[in-house]
Amino acid sequence: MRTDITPSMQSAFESGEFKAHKIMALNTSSPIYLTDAPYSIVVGANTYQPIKGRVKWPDLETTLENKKGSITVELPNTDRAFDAITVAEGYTDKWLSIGEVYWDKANTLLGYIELWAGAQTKIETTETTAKITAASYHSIFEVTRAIRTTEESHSRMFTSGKGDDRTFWWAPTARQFKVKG
Amino acid sequence: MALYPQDPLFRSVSVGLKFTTDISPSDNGHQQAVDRDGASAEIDIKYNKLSYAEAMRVRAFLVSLRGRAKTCDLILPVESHTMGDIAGSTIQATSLTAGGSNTLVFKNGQPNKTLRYAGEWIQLAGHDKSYMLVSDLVTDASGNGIATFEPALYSQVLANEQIIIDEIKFKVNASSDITKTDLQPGKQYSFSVKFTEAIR
Repeated sequence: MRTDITPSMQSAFESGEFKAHKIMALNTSSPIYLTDAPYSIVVGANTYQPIKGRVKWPDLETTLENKKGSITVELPNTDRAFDAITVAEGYTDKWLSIGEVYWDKANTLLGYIELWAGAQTKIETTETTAKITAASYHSIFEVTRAIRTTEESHSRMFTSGKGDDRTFWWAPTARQFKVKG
Repeated sequence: MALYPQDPLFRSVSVGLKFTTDISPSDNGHQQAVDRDGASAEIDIKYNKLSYAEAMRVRAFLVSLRGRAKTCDLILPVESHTMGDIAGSTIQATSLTAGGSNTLVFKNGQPNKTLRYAGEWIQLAGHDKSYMLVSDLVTDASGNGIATFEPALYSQVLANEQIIIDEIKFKVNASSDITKTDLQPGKQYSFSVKFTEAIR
């Protein structure tokens, strides 16, 4: 459940008639601000420019909790702009956020809600498209936590090779075991 | 910009604005609707039976567009013109207006005239998009007025930019990459073509 819906947004949603457009920010050295609206949208200090081409947005849940997982957004790349950016800057650690801007039925801008944010993990470019994949920070932590070690692999991490006979304390259970050499 | 052939004449023209709406209706009639701004004009043209020479002229023009690759200007019968009184009026935007606006204040019209009617089209000089008026384009005693239209402005309009109210030229590309003409007995061709508004 979201807790960042403003009263004016809530009123617009309840009216059953409002306007919405998606916005996306990709934090390259010169951040890229894009929207699926046909005209530019000013949100805060940033101006989001219309995407001139086909865009495929990921399915996004409007939830605050556990923005888990990876998403992929597909953008037009016939101008090969993303190839040049990727070559110049790489693609990791580029923060990607996707949100939605809302207007009420009287066309009054009400603000925006961030739907998803994460760090870019992959980019695939073709003659016509750029598929940008990003993982949320929850996912990044999960990936780190997901490294599994066995007793043997753990011993290899701390010794130069087999043959050593050492005692490890395995937190948090403090189970004592010996490495077989 | 190449102009689509005005000859041979069209048998019929179908033109409309295509909006995008996410709508969630219920069986009892209640519903929720989310509007996405922007709407492109889609135009269907049908011809009467064409002679060999006419068909070749139209076909050659469409092939010169290389399917959907190039755009052309399209002047439509009736739709591009007005039933209003535009004589002597060359109207301009009064002030800078941001993209996303559905209204445009204008000046320099002939006083107390109905320049164009609701449901007719307007354009802005140098812009690709065509807009449809949703209320009559009328001037006050000073020749000023407000245009109200859909969809919202695709880009900002500067002060003194001209608002085109006569001979609207739709900027379009063919909806298909292939041009096929049907040859009928007696060297008569039947042919129709679809266009989509192109904002490039």
